Amino acid sequence: MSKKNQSIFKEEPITTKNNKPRNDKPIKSKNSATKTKKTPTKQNQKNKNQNKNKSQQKNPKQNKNKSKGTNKNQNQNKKQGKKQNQNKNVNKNQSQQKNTKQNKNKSKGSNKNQNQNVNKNKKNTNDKPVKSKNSATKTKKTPTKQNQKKNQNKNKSQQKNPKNNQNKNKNQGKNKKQNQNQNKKQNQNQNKNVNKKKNDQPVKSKIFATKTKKTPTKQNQKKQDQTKNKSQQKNTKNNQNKNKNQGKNKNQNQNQNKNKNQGKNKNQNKNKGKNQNRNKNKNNNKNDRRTPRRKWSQEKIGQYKKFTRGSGASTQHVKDRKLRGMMKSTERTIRRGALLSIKSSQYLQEKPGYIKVKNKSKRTDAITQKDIVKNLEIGDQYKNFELNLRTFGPYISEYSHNGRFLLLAGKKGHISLIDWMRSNQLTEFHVEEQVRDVAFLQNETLFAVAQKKYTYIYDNKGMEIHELDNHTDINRLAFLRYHFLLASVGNAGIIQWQDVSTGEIAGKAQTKLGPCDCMRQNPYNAVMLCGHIRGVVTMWSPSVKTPLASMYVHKTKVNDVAVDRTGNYLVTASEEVVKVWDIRTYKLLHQLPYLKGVSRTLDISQTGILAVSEGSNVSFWKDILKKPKSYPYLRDSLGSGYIERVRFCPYEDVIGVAHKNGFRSLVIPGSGDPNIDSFEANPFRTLKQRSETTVKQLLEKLDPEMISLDPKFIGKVDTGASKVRNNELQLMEKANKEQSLERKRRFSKFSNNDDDDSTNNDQSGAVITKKKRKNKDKLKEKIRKMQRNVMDQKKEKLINRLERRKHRKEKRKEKRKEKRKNKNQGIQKGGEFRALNRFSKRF
Amino acid sequence: MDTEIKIISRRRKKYVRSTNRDINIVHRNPNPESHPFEQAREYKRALNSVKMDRIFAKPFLTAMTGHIDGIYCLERHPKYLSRVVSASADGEIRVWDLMRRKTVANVQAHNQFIRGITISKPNGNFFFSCSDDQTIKQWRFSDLRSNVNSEYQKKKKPVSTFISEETLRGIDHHWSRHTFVTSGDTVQVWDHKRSKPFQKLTFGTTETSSAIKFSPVQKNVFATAGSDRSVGLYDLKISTPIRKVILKNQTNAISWNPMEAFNFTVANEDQNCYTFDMRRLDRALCIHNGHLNAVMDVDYSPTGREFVTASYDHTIRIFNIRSISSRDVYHTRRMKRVFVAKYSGDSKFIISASDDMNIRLWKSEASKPLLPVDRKEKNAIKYRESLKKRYGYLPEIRRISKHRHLPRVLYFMKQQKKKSLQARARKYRNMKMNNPSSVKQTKMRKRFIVKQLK
Repeated sequence: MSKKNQSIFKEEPITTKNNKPRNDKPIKSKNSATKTKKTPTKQNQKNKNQNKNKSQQKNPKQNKNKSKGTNKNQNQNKKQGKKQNQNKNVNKNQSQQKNTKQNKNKSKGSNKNQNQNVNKNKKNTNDKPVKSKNSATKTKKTPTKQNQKKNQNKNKSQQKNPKNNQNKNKNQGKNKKQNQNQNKKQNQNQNKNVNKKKNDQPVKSKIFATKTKKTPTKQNQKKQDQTKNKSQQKNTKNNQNKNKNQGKNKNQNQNQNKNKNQGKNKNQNKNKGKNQNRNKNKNNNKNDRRTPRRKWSQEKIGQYKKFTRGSGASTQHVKDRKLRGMMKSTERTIRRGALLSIKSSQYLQEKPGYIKVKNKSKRTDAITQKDIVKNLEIGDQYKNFELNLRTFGPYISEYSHNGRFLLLAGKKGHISLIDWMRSNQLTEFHVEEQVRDVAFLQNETLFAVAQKKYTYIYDNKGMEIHELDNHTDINRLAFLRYHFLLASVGNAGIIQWQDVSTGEIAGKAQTKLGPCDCMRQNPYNAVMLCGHIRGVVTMWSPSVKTPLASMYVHKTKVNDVAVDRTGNYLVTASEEVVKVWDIRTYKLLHQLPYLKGVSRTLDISQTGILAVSEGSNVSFWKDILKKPKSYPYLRDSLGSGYIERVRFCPYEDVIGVAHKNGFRSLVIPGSGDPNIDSFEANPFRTLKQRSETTVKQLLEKLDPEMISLDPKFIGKVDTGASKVRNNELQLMEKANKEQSLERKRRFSKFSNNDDDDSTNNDQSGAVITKKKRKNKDKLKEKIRKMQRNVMDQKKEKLINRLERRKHRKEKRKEKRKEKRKNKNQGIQKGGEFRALNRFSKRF
Repeated sequence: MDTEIKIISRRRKKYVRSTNRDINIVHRNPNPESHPFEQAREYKRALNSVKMDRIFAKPFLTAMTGHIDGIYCLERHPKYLSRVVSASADGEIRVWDLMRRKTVANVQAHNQFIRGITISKPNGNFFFSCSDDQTIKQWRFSDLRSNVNSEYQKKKKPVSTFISEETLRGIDHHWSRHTFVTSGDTVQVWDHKRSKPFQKLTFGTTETSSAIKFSPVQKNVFATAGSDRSVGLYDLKISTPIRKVILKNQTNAISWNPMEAFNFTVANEDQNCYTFDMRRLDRALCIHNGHLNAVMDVDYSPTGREFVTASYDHTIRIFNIRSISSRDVYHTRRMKRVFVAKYSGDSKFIISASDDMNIRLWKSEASKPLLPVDRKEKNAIKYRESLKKRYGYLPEIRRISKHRHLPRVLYFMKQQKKKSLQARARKYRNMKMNNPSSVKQTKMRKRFIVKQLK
């Protein structure tokens, strides 16, 4: 038996992983929370935490109850520990520990939250934890995989029968009070009822745990204790039940029960087949949204999330059946597509580079370029090279977007276009003028050079194609590949976009922040970022004259900015500090711990390695964007001079460091995206492919108006418009309310001052409005309508009638006054005042 | 060594083809990060493909001449894709081969106006023509096959002639039996072998029915369009009329949906088509509008997803069965009033016959290539289609894909119609506002129906 059990145990973590989350939605949410924590985007975390908190607040009562239950459990556990073999608990906990492998590193608090979360979201909060426990325990009983599956299904079905659950709870309640004998009897009743069977489960599971014998190390024990508590918090009532049984039952008895049950469970499973299937279908329908499967590995889940591109739309609230069907089918295709791309990414050819240090005490930043080159294959050693160009320095460099070509420009006028992979110089010339910046256009055949006065476009033969005389005194150039826009900013502080294909100026804006010599594009959304003297970073789109956003990032001048490929992180450099920001929230995340010198330039690689120049040194920081680091991944030093520009080579593990005395190409393992997409950027493309892609690029040229902070706005519903409309509606409502209030005020005035008109006129003199008659008097109206200067019989009659009426009214008034007087005096018209009168008549 | 270092190192072999004759090696990376501006670029592609569709939209294939009078009847062969029979007002019948775009056979069948033509089913060996001279003639295809202008013409004789006691306005053949029905003062049911109708069906009123059409699915059911503006349903099994609905205007043609057994569409004089459910005639399933004059004919595509309409306004329109407005409109300068439009058996072509004595052949999808396309192009087309579907709701794309050129006259007529409809709607709205009791609220789908008879 023990062997069997152990084997089951080994399988157990897998099964519980599968089972738990499948049971119900809230559990899913829990699991997803745990998974995302390993690969967290901050927003997600926040949201989830918020959700948790919210839901907690919703059911304060339930939480209270639960907490009581958990306390009990803990106490009982302690007692057990003393009375019984430690092994029991330990083993049980080990299983649970396996379940919670993912959670190991987490603090207690977070786990608590999760558990609560599980309970909260369910309808029968008290039942659910029990259920989830059942699912875990059940699988232990039936060790074959098939059975496990069946059990899962069964559990689902059971959850869906609220009646069953209630019954179960009742039974449990009884069990608490009564002792283990009752439990026994129930076991013997052969589990005809699902409910009854459920009651047994905790018992069985317990037995299982007790059976295997392992002696724990101290460390394990601690963990186990933690996990134990956690898991027991989940199973409030069940655990109580279980614990009681443990206290009183001996192992042998329990074993007997278990054996009986094992035989019967199988039969039940068979009988329940139909229901299970139905329930399974239901569950599938619920899974409409793009939620990953539970059994997947973390990596696969991460990929799935990436490829599904968001959480998807829920179709539950959509009333239109046709629309709902359409939405569902699109969701299905998206999910299918994600799975396909996961599959295809398994067949990607290349693997990313890395450095593995076997002696863990040694830091990677001690490794020099020499060491790296030594380790490389001979065919790859050419990637590390140095060019000594002392005459025309300082140099700047730029790689073409496919990483094959390198443009070197000395500030004193030397320009050279190199196919660096084949060490082949395409062109070299001297402009005999100051060169401030260079930029490749759509491919390596054209590049723009910002010279002393104007900006020029040259081709790969070194021939001047254009003189852009509207870009004068330019410090920085950038080319937006997908929009065919050449952006420039210079000493005039004007940022300007020119369409390279048509020659039109797509946009022009004054930064109004003085001369600017720092500009980079956000590769995610093509927004231009300018760093200014006052320590401000502004973001620009050609269609908007004012910055889309501006951030105050440094107290001194911003030397350089860089945005990573995902468009989430911004790194800014001033002379003293380098800071990492989250663009989505515009918040500072952290800053680099130290700088060895002035940082003039920085760059972020495709994989998120940050290169920072520090005077004559350059340091490389891996994974710095998400969390702070105390030391760099790699570093390198020139020895003398200063670094003018660092640029990572796309799709290669190479960085180009252009400095005062030339250019240096360094190998940084893991900096490039290993897998190219031939239709995006192909370093090996032929001339024909190049011309074809150019045509395609031109066909797919994006409009400059499409540049905005969110590049995905195109597929989305324009909520902005509705917001605007809502605002307007609100304004309107507000205004209407005011109007109506005013009107009310006026009416109230009229009604108050009905008796004497003179005061009314005085007060409402300011407001020229028609006096509205509240009660239309037909008589008065008739008289009024008749001509005033003519007195005929009819009018006379009417006037008489009016007077008579007035008279009557006055009389009535007098009567009323009398009445009131009498009332005050305690005299009633009808007779004497009696105490009992109050019940029969109003007075 | 205590460190292990690896970097990306690409073998040229993996990325570059070995010879120039080889195809280029292509690598894909599905990672969304390496495809920036996905949505925007897809949108642009969708826009381009929609524009391309408009550029390549050349639906007109050919016009076939031969008749010397207006063509009012046209029928496609149930078996052969390229065979079509047409009849003109002068009593001539021509058999056409669409592939060769020629007349295969012709015969002067009647001396008067030919009101209807139908081909025997399912074999399609014979066809029947009915005329104002109160005769129905049965013709065998193989008899007529000879030189068009030869003297044999005189010898071309019908297999049999049926003489009707009443006027004949239309004819249709049963889809499997040797039975055909004619419309006129009463609906007469004929057999191939009998000289007299074996059944006469009537609603008991004095209307004359014109169009008549068997349902291809429920084969004993057929519908007629009467001169009392009615659409009537009959069943051969119970030998009585089933039910009838009277519309505000007369119906010119009827067509049954071959895939949805109980749905049929009628072409109405009021410029609209109405799709009905046979089981509920008190309201239309869908109103199809767009024509600017009376709709003369309607015919379903064999796929059952679309139908084509011919109109007095010199145009043909193609409708989706569920959509109110037409998917496409075809016209040429020389085409006059169109009296018949039929889908070809493979649903790829449309054949129209008009007043101007010509039969015209159109593509049913204006921009689809006719020649076989290879796998790559097929995939590209598929991709474009899905993009269009995805971004079709965006205003620019919708505008371009919906835009159709109309002749000047029709364009102004359309504007006018729009204006008058708007005015009517405004008036209705005002009436509803000011004197609600005077306005009877009816749904659009019921407004054109006068009453339903059972």
